[in-house]
Amino acid sequence: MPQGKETKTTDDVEVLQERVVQLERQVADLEAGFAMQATGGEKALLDALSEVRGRLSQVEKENYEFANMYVEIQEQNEAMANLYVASQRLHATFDLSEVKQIISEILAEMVGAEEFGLFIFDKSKKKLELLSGEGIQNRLPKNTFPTGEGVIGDVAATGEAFFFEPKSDSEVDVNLPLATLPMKLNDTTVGVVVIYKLLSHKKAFTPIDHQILELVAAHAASALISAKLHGAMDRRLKTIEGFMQLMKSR
Amino acid sequence: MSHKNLLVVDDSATTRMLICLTLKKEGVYNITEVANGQEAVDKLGAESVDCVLTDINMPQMNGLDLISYIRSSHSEPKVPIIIITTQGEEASRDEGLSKGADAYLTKPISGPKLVTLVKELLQDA
Repeated sequence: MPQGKETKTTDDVEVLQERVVQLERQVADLEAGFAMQATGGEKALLDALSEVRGRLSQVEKENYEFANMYVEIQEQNEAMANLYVASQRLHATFDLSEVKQIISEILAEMVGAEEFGLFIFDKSKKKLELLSGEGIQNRLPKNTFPTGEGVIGDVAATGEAFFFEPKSDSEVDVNLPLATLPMKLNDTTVGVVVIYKLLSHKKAFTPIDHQILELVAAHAASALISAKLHGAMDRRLKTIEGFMQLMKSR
Repeated sequence: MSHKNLLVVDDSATTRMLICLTLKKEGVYNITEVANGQEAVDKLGAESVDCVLTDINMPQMNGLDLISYIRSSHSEPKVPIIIITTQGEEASRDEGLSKGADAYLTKPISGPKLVTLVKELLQDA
């Protein structure tokens, strides 16, 4: 809208608001005058009118409170649906590649992450190794990260989550992850979830995103370790079965 | 009120589960889910569908090809199509709508927004 037209509209609104106040005052004066001259029956009617007005304002207030409660419940419902789906999916399989795929789906499609990685802590090498990720190949050419170095290494060492949520474009630091969360199993950090960038249409994390990320941090570790152990056990079982077959055939 | 048949097309089982959970709560939809455009084409040939919710990037047949197929082969009644994708760019939106989609939503999905949109489109259809 052109500036001149905008100023004129603002002036018009002010004039109208002033007129509404004047009219309200006139109505109140008329009612007061009428009340002073009113006879018995009219006074009763005025009292009833005043009571109805009081009740109307009470109902309006209740309506407003219910509307707020409805919005709150809707948000809680949505959060619960998201958390239910995320937890169900995380523990839906013992296949390691599927678990990695599911974590990626949760981060990309439920949180809206565009560049992210999942790192597992290798105790013997004191390094974090990239297990899976999207869009971070240029950031990590070696696919490993020493613990205790940088934000990711610090989170792995301390077990404390780190969030960087810039309030404006000028605060954005493309090298700093937006979220770095430790994946813990029995209070031991076994890996780190890192989000570098959100989808272009998503400006910041929402309260539901924080809840989903907390859930991923708490459950991804057990899902990954269970899948790894299951895979190792499956391989051993196959070896033993093969050995038994060989013994039988002799 | 008769139940409407919805077809959810997405290669992410996580997203399919979330969409189904969100819409099933309404209690008025029968929901079928498939993982790509080709499976959707097979379903459309076998079952009556009142509304299609599709992702864009999928293996075998993507969402845009699916929309072109639906619009060229199912002329009447016009089935409402909603795109649900991570692609938030204006060009993607324009392309999806120009192919014949009725609405374009970006992921992460907002449950209330999705429910309202499906209701609106099914009322208009």
